[in-house]
Amino acid sequence: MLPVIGSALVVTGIVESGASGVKVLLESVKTGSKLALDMSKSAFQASGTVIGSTVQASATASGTVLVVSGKVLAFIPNTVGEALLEHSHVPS
Amino acid sequence: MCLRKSLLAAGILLACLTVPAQAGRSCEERALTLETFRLAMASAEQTQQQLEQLGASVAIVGRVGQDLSKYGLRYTHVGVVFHGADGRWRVAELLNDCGSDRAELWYDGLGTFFLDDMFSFDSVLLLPPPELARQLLARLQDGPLLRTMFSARYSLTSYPFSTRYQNSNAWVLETLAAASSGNRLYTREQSQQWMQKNGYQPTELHLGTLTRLGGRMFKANIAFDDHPNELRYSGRIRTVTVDSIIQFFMARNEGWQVREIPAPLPKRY
Repeated sequence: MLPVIGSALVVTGIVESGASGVKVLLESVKTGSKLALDMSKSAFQASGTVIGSTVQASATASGTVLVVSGKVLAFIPNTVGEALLEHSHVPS
Repeated sequence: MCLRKSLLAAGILLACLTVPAQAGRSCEERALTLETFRLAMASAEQTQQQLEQLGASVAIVGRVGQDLSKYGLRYTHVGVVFHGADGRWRVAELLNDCGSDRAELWYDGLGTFFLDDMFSFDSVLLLPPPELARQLLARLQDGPLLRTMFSARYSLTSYPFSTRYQNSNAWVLETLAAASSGNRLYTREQSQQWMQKNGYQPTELHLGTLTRLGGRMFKANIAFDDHPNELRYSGRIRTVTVDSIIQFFMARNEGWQVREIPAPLPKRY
């Protein structure tokens, strides 16, 4: 489920996921629908997000940005965004 | 900002936010502001539009990672952007491994290219003449061939006529040298000989002793022991810069073109 643009979500849970990952559980303030984000623990910690933080979903031409207190928590790219955000080793 | 994508249980592709490798910077995790993120992605989109309007399939693309105006320089880092057979634009670039003395070659999207710690989102395209563009396009899609001009030992200030270290711009220049010879140069030494024979002039930075010592002692990604002693001990550090690459190829009068692209405007409303 993609978050509705302009809608607010609240962080309802943070679950450790492996050695370096976390699963962030989000719930829509308006509809109560739920969303889970898998992300790196270090990136999550850098965002300063805690349980109860409000997350805003914002639209860009290349996907949906999830923002907490003006800082980007995560980006959900559309097809355009996926192509723009490639990062792969040049093969040997 | 990390661009490793993970598949969510909900079936959503997520780009999480840490950069695994940057051009001569540490990889300290910092959350981006929405404004910076928007500007980076807008820079990527306008660069792609510019390439498509120009009908280009390959270009050298430069960005401004830090303020080098005190050295009379504008752009800090280049990669080579190309239109792949699958229709995607990719940047082939050499990136330092998080401030260490190592580097790796990457294929990055244009968004990834600009999602670094930019001083400014101004950028530059250097467009090769058609025959060279064809040689480059073939080379860029052949990973093992691209790696023939690559060394994993990194120094931000690598000397252009030594193979002990390499920086991002030197890899691009040596790759351009190989393509300029019809892809008939097979080693870094051969590319550097080509550069010397064709009159490439590196930028000379005047760095005081304290700056040099500070760089060497406190930063793993800066070394000076590849520079000739007479230059090094007189504080004259010659290295490959974006500006020197542009000046070199423009002076060859082969039909190269330069396009500077101003940063996109911040979103007001």
